Amino acid sequence: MNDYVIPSLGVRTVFCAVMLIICIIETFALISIRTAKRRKAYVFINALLLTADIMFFSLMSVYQIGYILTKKLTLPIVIIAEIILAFVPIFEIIFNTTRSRRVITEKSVKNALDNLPAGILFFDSDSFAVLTNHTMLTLLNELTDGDVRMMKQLDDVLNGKSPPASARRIDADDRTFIFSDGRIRTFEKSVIVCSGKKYSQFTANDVTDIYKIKQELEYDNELLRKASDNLRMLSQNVVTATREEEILNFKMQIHDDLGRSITAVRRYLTQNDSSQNADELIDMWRESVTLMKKDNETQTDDELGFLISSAEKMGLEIIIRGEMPSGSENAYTVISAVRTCLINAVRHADASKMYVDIKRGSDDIEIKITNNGIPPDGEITEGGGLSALRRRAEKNAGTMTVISRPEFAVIIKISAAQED
Amino acid sequence: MNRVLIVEDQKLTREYLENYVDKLDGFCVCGSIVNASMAEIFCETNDVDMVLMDVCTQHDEDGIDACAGLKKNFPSVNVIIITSMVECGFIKRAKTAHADSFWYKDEDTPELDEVMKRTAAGESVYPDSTPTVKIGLADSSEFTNSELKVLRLVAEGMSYDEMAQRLSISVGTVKYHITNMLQKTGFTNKTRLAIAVTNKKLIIPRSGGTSGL
Repeated sequence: MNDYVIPSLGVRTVFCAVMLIICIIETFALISIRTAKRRKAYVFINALLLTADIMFFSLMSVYQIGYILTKKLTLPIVIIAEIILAFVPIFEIIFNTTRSRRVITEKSVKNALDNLPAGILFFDSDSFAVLTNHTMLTLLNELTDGDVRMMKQLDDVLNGKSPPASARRIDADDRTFIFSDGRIRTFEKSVIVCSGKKYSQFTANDVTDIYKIKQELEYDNELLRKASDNLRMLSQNVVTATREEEILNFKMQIHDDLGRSITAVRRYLTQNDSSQNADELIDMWRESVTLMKKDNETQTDDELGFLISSAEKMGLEIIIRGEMPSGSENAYTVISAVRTCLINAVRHADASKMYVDIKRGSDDIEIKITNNGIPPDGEITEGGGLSALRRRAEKNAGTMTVISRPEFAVIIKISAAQED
Repeated sequence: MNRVLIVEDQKLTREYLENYVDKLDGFCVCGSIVNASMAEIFCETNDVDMVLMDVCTQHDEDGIDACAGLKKNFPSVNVIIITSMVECGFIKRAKTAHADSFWYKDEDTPELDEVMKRTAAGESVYPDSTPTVKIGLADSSEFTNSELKVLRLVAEGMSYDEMAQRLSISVGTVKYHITNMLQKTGFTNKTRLAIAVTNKKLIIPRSGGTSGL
């Protein structure tokens, strides 16, 4: 006991008070850190308290004051208590640092923003920039060649009012640019509300892969469009193509037949070949020449004339009043109508005259067909002929009306625009 | 003597057939016209025993449709449908239209004279099947009836929804059939498939006529 230095009452009082205050502050700091917003500050406070603890711990070891103050306590217990109190802040700092990695703090939000592959930038309601990330900063350097503090600077570039600094706009109507790293990014603007305040949010998303796929799709679509056009042309021309193929086949056959005829005659004349007689050779030639002669004859297909003469044979006179349409499509519609009504007039109405009245309007042509035969008993049910006639009339936006009472009539209206 | 009406819009073909028929014993040409829809009128005013009817005639008049009307009003007239197109629906349509016989122009057998003689004798002469053509890696005979129905609408440029509606099946079923056909033929898309079948005349778009498929 005589080895210990005993300080004065004042020193002991001050020391106890300071130790008590440190303990209280540490306790509150310990509690507060778990709820404090500004954890960095409290970590700093903890560090200070730790330093103070260590200092007083050192002082205590020199003066052995704890032993003097608490005679009932042995020195080691006080020292142990002090060690614990001193090291609590250390553990708290470690715990806080570890915990801060799991708790979202302002720093963690900023870190997360900076780690985003997309660029992001916020402007407040006064159009001042308030938050951005590293990606956006890099992009802004190529867009505006400097800091963007006001929203208008960025808006002007995105809307095409100002040219971009070094980035290149992909599409005049689109907020899409290609940057120096070869990546394509598109900018989008939206308005968000946070804590009752409006912010403008600009995002820059990498669309390089999507853009490439889009170009490939456009190329494929173009190929498909061409293929569809070819298909349409093919389907329209397949019948024509087949006919031409048939004609070519027949021509080749005629050519071969003629060749055989020439060969046979030559052999007969030059080699006195008696395997074929002269009559057979003449027949062979006659066939070939007849076909070629027919091919050279002109033939006019007067379908209306055929119908009129056929009607006469059937005891029906066709009287056409008005001018036949000049367009081939319209003219054939008239011929189809005459043919259909002719058959019905002969078979069902026992008519001797059929009237075809053609009237030309400003935009359309009206064809009305009537006959002097027996009127139908009831409403006409359209059979194959009238149905086919209706399809033909309506094919080019025309109309067809069938009247059963008081007398049978077919009225077709077709567009005059079909005229040649 | 069988009096034959030839319905063929191609002059050279028509004249070749006139020559051919005139050389046959027991047959003679009583007329030749270019428009199938005029056949009935001709039969009203002329004595006709047999009609050689092309399918695609002038003004796109369908010979098989004309055959249906002809057989209804002139049942004793024998009608032989003749065509060079291997369109898969023609045989079925011809049977529905009650055509007596059917002859492919480009096939080696049977010859037309044999078909005509057998038809005049009361026989119905039809090919066993549509001639087979190569569509990509597949033969046309490998397609099922359902696939051919879908294929016709593909060749007409319809969308999946339109095809499903027309055939009263689901879009999934349409796609199933198309996928199968693409796998059989080796084509990568239905447009190429449609071009191939149209080129080979296996499908003639909008050739369904009214005497149904």
